[in-house]
Amino acid sequence: MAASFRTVLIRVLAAELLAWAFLALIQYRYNS
Amino acid sequence: MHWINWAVVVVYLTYLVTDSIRRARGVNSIEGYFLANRNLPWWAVGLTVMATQLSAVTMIGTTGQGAVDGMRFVQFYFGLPVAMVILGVTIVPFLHRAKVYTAYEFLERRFGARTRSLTAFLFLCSRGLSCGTIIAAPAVVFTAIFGWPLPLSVAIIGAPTVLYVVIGGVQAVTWADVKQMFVVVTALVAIVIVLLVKIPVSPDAALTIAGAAGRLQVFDFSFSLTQTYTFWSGIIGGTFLMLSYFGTDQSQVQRYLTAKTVEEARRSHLMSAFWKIPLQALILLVGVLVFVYYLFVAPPVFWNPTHARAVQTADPNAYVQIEREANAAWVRRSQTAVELAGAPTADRTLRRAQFKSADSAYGAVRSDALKQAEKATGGTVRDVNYIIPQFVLNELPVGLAGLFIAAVIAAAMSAVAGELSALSTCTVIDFYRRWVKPEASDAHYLKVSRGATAFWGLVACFVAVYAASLGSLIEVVNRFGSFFYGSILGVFILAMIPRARASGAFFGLVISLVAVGAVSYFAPNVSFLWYNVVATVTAVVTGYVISAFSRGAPERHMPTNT
Repeated sequence: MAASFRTVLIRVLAAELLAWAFLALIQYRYNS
Repeated sequence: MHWINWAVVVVYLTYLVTDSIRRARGVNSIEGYFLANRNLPWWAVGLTVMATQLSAVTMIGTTGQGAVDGMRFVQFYFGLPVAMVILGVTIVPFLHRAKVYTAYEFLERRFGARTRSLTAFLFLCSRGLSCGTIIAAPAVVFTAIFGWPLPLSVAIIGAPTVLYVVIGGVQAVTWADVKQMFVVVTALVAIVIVLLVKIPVSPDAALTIAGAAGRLQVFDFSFSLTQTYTFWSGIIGGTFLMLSYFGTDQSQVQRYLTAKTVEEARRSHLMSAFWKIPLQALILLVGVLVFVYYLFVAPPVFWNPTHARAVQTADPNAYVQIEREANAAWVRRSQTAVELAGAPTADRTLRRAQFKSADSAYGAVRSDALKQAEKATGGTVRDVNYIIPQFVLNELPVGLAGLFIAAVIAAAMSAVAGELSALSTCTVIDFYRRWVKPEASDAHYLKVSRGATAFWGLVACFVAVYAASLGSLIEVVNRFGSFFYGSILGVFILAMIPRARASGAFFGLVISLVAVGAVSYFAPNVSFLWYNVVATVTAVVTGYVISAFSRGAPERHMPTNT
């Protein structure tokens, strides 16, 4: 069954936030 | 290059072409040739969407950018995931259910032939030329590094691509792209592993050094219209660019029109939504690690061997002097890097400052060297695209270098193949079948389609051969593409507004093109990512206002989204 728009949006945003968090962690850990 | 590396490249190319042609057997209609009978699985479509976007420039240019500029380019893709979700509920279902061949064909149903022809014409002009530049970028690098004549480099990339696209159409393109993505990702992961093994300090220390050199600065929250790679330009301008590119550019639209169902088309887009940012981060990480690697192994002063030869010939004494200065600066930088890697936490601030100062000094020597190269060659010198090829050929183990060269060729081929297929579809469906010969047999259209693919393949190779000498003109061509992306997106948005009329769409499109031209002329420093925002908003607002003053009912209704 196809996921609703809201579900897909939440999944994609969660994945993007996870990617940002990972990149931010690297920047915070090594760039400061 | 070692013969085993060449063997890897030759075996891969031979397998790719023969298997693509084999899989495309039985293509006997234009629906099969252009849309694979709308029967491809979502994962294959998802991979071809990613492969079409990923060109050789990504493999050698973006990795090189990672080495000199760090990770911040990844912000360019921050708008992509949300754009994919939006497209999944707007343009994707509309186009897929409309059973069209091209995005522009859909526009005729809504706004008439005038708008369709103009948008299709803009696509052909821009993509026909940019297809050549996609081949030219790696071909120029191969020519400089291997010493091949440029036409040969172009032929190595262009000929097999044209061959399998002409014979197999989109079916061959898709299955070739699936293999290309596999090779590209394998090569990137293998290089990261090799780099981590070869760099003589721990991964943590390597990243500490990269961070000290500013290479791990990802986020830039400054709001500047003139900078392309900031968080806001990525989120706002990037979203508009990705909506335009994936939603309205035939080279991408054609990809998801081949999916079995609307749901599969949506799923194929979500693959990019989930994986594009990690993939781009991996590509940039390769560049960052190559930067760290060359802190411990002396790099060439000139990454492009033709620059080294030009300076050596023009002024041998100056060349020796440059080499000496660069070596002294590199030794100093290398020492400070080792000291930083081994420094206890309390000492890091001081060591970091010392390394930064040594890194700046090395950068200054390099920029003087590039000025010498500019004097010797008489042109602008940029050698970012040569960093990764030099590393691959000189430092990677036998076999893996061949795999990377194969991956670069694969990336170029997959990007060009998608474009060729789209150019051919647009030529035949939007012009030949629409204006020249509306009633003909499928066999006739299939023959013309193959001819059109071959024609665009020749145009691409021709442009690629001359691209190197055209220099700044190529930049104009690339900017030209971004001039009308947003305008076409605006027309598609108008198509979804019931009150929009044909005259509004057409004049909205024209006015938005003029608006972007004006921004580019009067404010040349504004980053091209903002052009998409300006164009889309102008097209929608002016199109809507003109529609409001237009009389009459809508000319046609678009297919319903149910």
